[in-house]
Amino acid sequence: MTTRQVLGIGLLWLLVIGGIIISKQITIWTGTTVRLQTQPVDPYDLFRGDYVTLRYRISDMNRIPDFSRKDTPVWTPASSSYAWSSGDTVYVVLRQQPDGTATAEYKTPQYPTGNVLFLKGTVSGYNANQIDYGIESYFVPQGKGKDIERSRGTNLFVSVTIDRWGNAVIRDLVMTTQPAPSIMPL
Amino acid sequence: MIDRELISLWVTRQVITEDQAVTMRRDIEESRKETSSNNIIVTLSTVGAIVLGAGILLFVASNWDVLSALVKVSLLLLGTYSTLALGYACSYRWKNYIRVGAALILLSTILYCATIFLVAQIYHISANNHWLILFCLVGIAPLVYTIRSNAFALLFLTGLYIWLGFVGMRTYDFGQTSDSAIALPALFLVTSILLFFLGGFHYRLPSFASIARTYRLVGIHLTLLILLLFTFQFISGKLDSIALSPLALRAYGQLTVTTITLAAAAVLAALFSLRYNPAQSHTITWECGLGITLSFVVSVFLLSSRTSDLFTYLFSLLFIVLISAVIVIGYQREDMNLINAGITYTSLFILIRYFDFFWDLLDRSIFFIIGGIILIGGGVVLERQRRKLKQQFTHP
Repeated sequence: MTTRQVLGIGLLWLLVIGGIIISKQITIWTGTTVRLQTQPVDPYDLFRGDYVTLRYRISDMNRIPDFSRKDTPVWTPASSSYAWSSGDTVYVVLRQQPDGTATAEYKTPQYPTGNVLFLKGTVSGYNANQIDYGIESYFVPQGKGKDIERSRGTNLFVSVTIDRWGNAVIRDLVMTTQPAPSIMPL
Repeated sequence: MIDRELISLWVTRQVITEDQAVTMRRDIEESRKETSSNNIIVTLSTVGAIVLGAGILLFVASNWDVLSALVKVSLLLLGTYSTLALGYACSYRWKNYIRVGAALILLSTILYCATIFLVAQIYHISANNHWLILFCLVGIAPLVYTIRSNAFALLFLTGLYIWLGFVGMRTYDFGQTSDSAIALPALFLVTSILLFFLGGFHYRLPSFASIARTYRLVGIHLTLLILLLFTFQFISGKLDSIALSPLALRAYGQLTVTTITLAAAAVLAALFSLRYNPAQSHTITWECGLGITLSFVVSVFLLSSRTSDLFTYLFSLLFIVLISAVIVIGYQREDMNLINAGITYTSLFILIRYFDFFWDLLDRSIFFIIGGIILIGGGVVLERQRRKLKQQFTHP
């Protein structure tokens, strides 16, 4: 092993680690911050000791319509719904509510154009009924997750920054003092 | 290998004098002590590096919030590069603590991976993300080919198989493994076959010979292990009920396509090996024949509907053929690694089939008594056989 090889390996490591940091920081610096409401998770996926598994209202494929409404033309509706399957990339266009919360307006397999806020996700689950956005884990110091766990689905919101390409980074968890209304628009 | 018996024989035949014999015996003794000492140093250093690395990983995992993210990343990076530099200096510049230096480089690799997972933790990237493991592999791969050590090759291969597993199951919740998960062992099987032949290609460059052997041995072991799994009826046999929705079948299809693509790559690698024989193997025809047959059978297995136990019998037959080939080739090459592998998996196979056939037929107590006697007797026979073989190989 030569000095040049060691320096090359060191540089490669720095590029890899730096690349991960920079890609996430670009999202944070250039993105829009919104709040997403969580929903209860199956007990099997509970808190594992140092991170919390998160699920969102917008993670449920069945609750998000497939095509756009008349007033937000982006994707021409097909005669029948798109046949989603696990592994497909899905773009969920969001609408910001007055209180800063973002709700799902519709989902599409095509990259949205125009000035719309959207999240890029991957269809998952045995019956292709879930969407993973890459923001399903929140790391907490050991022993501090129980309170967060109990709040999921009621008054727990997640603050995320979404960039123009649909990538998201979790910024913070937000626990409101009042419980969320029982019915929330999608 | 020269030992005391051989030296005494040479003295008897007057090939060497008694004084020379005394010197040779002393040198052999010192060499053995040094080898033993080196092994202890390597073991202690490597275990120490792994334990230290594990401690740091746990420190990262505990997510101690007293330190800021920037401080934690900086500390880990400092640790990574300082251990890399120190390890390099000890092993290659000063050459005073070569084995400790190698362990330090291993530690720096662990710290590099820990840094990646720490950064992922800071940005709340999912712990199941296969990209993280891929980034680790990208950093480990150059070390495999510059240091050319078995430890790094094994670390790389371990990461590779873990990454393949994560990629294969990325569209599934881990709590929902299903019949479609059978494609995962099949994926590992064809990967092991491909690894075996890729290992052979490494023989083209003499400096990569040790890596080549590691790849081929790992390929053989994993192929045998997974093939053994496929001899179980509940894994490869008839499915009484399949409740896969069309959507799940399509998801399963992604894993199947990946597996068949790798199987095709394994076949191509086998054909290339048959044509050019980079490993200069005298048993290349056997190796390629078995590799191609296994790849083909696994591909057909994935694409077929499982309405009978045909594939269970087929995999059992292939397993027996492969075991026999490994043992025979091990004998021909006087390779104890191959013979040990063959004997180990043969024993496992016999044990498993014994349980299979006799579990329901015999009274439990008789079952365990007979099983125990067979195992002890088998152990004695095998031990004698191994000693005989070792004796044969060292003193032909």
